[in-house]
Amino acid sequence: MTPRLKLEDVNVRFAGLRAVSDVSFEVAPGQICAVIGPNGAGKSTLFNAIGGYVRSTGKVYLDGTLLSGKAVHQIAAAGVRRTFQNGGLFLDLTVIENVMVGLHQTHNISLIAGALALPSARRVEAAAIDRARELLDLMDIAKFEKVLVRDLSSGQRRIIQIARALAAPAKLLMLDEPAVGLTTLEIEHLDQILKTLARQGISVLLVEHVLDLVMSVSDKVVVLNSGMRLAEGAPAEVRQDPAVLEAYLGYSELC
Amino acid sequence: MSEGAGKRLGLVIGLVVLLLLFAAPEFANGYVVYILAMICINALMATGFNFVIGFLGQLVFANTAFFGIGAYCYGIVLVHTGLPFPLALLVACIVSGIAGLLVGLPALRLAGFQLAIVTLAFNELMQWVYQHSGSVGGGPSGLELPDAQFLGVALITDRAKYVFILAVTIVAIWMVRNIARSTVGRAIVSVGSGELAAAALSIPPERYKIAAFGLSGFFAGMGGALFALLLGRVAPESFSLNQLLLGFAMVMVGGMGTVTGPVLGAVLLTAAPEFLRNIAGAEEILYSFLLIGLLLFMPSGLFGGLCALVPSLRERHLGTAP
Repeated sequence: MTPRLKLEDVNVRFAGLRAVSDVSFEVAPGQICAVIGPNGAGKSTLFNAIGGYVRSTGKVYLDGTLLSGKAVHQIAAAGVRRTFQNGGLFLDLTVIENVMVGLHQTHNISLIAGALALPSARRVEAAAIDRARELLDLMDIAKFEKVLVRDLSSGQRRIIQIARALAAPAKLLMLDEPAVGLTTLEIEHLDQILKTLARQGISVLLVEHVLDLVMSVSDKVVVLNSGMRLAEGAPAEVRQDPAVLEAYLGYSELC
Repeated sequence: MSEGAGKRLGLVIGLVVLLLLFAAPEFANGYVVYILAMICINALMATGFNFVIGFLGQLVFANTAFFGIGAYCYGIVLVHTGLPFPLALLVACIVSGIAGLLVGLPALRLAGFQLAIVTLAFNELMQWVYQHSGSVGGGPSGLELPDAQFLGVALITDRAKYVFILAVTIVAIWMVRNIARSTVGRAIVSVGSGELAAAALSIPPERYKIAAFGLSGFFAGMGGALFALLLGRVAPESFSLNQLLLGFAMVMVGGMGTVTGPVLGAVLLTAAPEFLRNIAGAEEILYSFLLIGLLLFMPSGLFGGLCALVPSLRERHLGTAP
């Protein structure tokens, strides 16, 4: 089977520094893959390389199609959606408006139809609102529908980011530390959502420090250290790996 | 008051205001009618301006150029081709819209002060073009325009012109409201709020930046064409830096990034000098204090201040939703 995501020798250099070095791995359809490692290991940079946010060498494939060299919006349109560690939301828009921006690809109205509020435009807009409400329900944030994102906590914002990233038919969802600032209850909810998505065939790439979540949801864990792939395997294997324990100095065991 | 009742009340007030506006030539004197027409024209100019400085959040000063291009296009088409005036108006809107798209190109590479200066330079370039327009645009003395006549409709008096200008303005503002609430409006606002975040949702930032500039040119140009219609002539001095600052102030004072704000700004800053004129000698000082005071105490503009008082007035970028 063609892997959902395939990385071949991906490299990212910043002014002589190798932030990501020759990283290769694959993620299968419907697989949840966690990328862990100490701070500065290159996890977020790897996300940026996959999404086209930074220049990288090597090759990235989505369902066998080459993504490398494409623009961010083209990669997003191909089905790679992500959340951001910081920012990434439109603070002066309401929660539902933020999610509706995420529906741009599937619920688009031409300028003229929109300007004249033609019946076709009204229908698409109404469908977009219904879809956005569904997503808010799924993430249990329907009560914030009309609230400005500016007025919400960082934990709530993370949930909105996920709802928004899911708005379009995503093939690969990249979540950058989605559990930071979430309560235990919210983390359990997130755990369920990720497993549901995986069952629907969406692959998930997860950068996360909350190791309980990582161990619970991941089918596979990739460990990065200083930009290099240190280990790869099932969660249970990786947590026994001596090299991994070494990198996480101070941790006698991973969790 | 329930939401539904509030909506109905708003609708009734809106209809009454609309009726009064259209009936104004029946009871108001010619001077007031002229000022009302200028309010419409300035509202369109400020609305155009708002697309880039409000919705897209870019510091752009090409607005008066679009206004001028609209006015000159209308005049030139009318004088040199003899096309009916509604067509001249349409051509003017389209040409200034295209000018907007072209000015949008440098905005793909520049932002902030650099973009401000480049677009300011475009304004000055257009000034030079008007001055050197020779027989086409009349050069420094400008063009005298023939009467606007079409299919038996003749817009000769200010009163007749005003009714036409008001109708066009209302339709245009309605269209802007629809755009702001549609995918295009949301995409422009999201690109303005965070380019990469928008791109991460498959929105091509370049396309929507250019679109904002095109729309800016289109509506500012429409204002310019109606201005030429009202005055019956076009001349370079109408499109000076003063005009630019006035447009900028209207958007700021009214409320950036909203549909209502620029209209409120245009109403206030067009009408205020006429009221202040009665206070001989203190006119400019009072006008300046009015501007400073408003920006100091209502940093998000008149409409922003109103929304803080009545949150249900807040505009949303949502279509059919309640």
